[in-house]
Amino acid sequence: METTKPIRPEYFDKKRHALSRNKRRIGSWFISYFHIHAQTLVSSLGRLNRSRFSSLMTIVVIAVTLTLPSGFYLLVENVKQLTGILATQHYVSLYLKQSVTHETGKKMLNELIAKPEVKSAKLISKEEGLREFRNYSGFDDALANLEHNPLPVVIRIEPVETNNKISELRRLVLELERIEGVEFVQIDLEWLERLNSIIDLVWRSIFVLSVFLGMAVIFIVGNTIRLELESRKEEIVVAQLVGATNSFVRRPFLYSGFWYGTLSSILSLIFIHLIMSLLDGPISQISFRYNSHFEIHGFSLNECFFLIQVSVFLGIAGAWLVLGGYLRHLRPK
Amino acid sequence: MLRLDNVSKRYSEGGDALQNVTLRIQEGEMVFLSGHSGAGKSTLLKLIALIERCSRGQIVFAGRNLNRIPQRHIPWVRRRLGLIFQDYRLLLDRTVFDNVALPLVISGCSTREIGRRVRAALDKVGLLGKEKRYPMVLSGGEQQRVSIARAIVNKPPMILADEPTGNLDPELSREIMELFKQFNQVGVTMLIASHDLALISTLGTRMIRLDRGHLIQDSDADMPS
Repeated sequence: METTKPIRPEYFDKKRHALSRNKRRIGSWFISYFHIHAQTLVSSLGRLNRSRFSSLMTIVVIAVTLTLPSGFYLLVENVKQLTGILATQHYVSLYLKQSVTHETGKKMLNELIAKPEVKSAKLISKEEGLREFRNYSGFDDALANLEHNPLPVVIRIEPVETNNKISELRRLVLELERIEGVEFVQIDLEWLERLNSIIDLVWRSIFVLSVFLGMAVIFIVGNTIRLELESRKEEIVVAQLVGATNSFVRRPFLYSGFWYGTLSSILSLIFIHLIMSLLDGPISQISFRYNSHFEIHGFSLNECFFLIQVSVFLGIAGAWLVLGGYLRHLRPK
Repeated sequence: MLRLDNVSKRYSEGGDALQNVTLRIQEGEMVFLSGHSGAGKSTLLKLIALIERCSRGQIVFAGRNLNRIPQRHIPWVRRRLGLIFQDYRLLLDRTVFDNVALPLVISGCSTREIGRRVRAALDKVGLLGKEKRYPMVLSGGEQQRVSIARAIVNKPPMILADEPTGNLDPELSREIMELFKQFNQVGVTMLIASHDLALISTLGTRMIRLDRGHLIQDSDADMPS
């Protein structure tokens, strides 16, 4: 009387046949597993190499798709740094009350210099103020007719460079306004705030863009893998008839996805590097004229690896997606 | 080894390919499946190889109920079967060696072992010198022999052959049948579907006849036609 039982994978049965006699240890399972994966890793790269032209096209497309969000990200990062530096170049001008004399002004100056947020400060006397005004405004003749100098004593402060420029500056301004003797504090924060909100908008757009482009990469890889599946369909069907498991069929395609992800991210990093070096010249010029030491910076090593990881993940995800659908399609009815 | 109980297969497009087929095949038997085209021979073999699932009834192969086998375990059933097709199903872009080695590669054999077994199988079918050739340059008979070598290389307990001599001339067909007899002598259970009645009758082995999906004659059980 035959008993029916559910079939078991008979793993050890299979392995005893497959592996030669002196490898019958559990450790040998890991060796053969590693061996299979290493083999598939290399052979899938070889397959990519054989259809070099079409593989290259796919890789370039994915690389460009990856370069867009990465490039924008770097752009925003650099602009943030640049605005920070430019922010400090804006002097804070304290217009003192009319009643404050030059000597009082000097005392206030010394107090201010002692503050940690103040890098340097300069006292501009009434006469000096008038002179500056004469030189820059063009009202020279009219001013010559004035009987007394209406300008107050001004202290010009150069704030120290920090990272949170806008909020620090705003705080500093509030502090300075409260000092006795100060009529009002002038700083062109509006320009900076406008720039900040633009940066915020760009940040958000980059995020949305990245999500869409990430999906695009998945679909591009998926489509390429689908084509590969179609062209190797006969091979897959025969392999399945002869007893190939799903993982056996999947493996080479997943590794293809892996390679597409890796190679295209490396190409993307090369593109970014090229762009950076192209822009380096003019940007150094600009920063030189602004008397700052701004240097354009690219991706750190961590960020490079992060991009490669994300790209590999997208590549494998694309392959997996397509494989799932395809294998389901081949089930017995 | 193989037991079919009231097995029926109905296609959604209409038509019963098989109806209430019941049979038993013991280990080491050599059985022929005969009948006209459309009688259901290929369908029966497909059900055993789990290329399709039966609509009704049950199939027990090597003590396992094929109805209860989940999708992911199907490869393990197929590894215990050698399949031979009428259209050979060889991979044209791979060498003879690679074609025959496929089941062993899938099982994870070592390279040395693969080489040994493939050459042994090719020797058995008489194609030892042609391992580096591509299937396209081989004749029909040679291609069929490659596919036979692929079916036996894993030493399966049972071989299913669907019209193995369908495209071959009588002399070649006889040679192939000789090979099958040799396999059977070593203990491999053979189930061969063929409509070449003349060939089958000369061998005098058990014959099961199908007609439009029904089992009408089993020379073993002496069923009335």
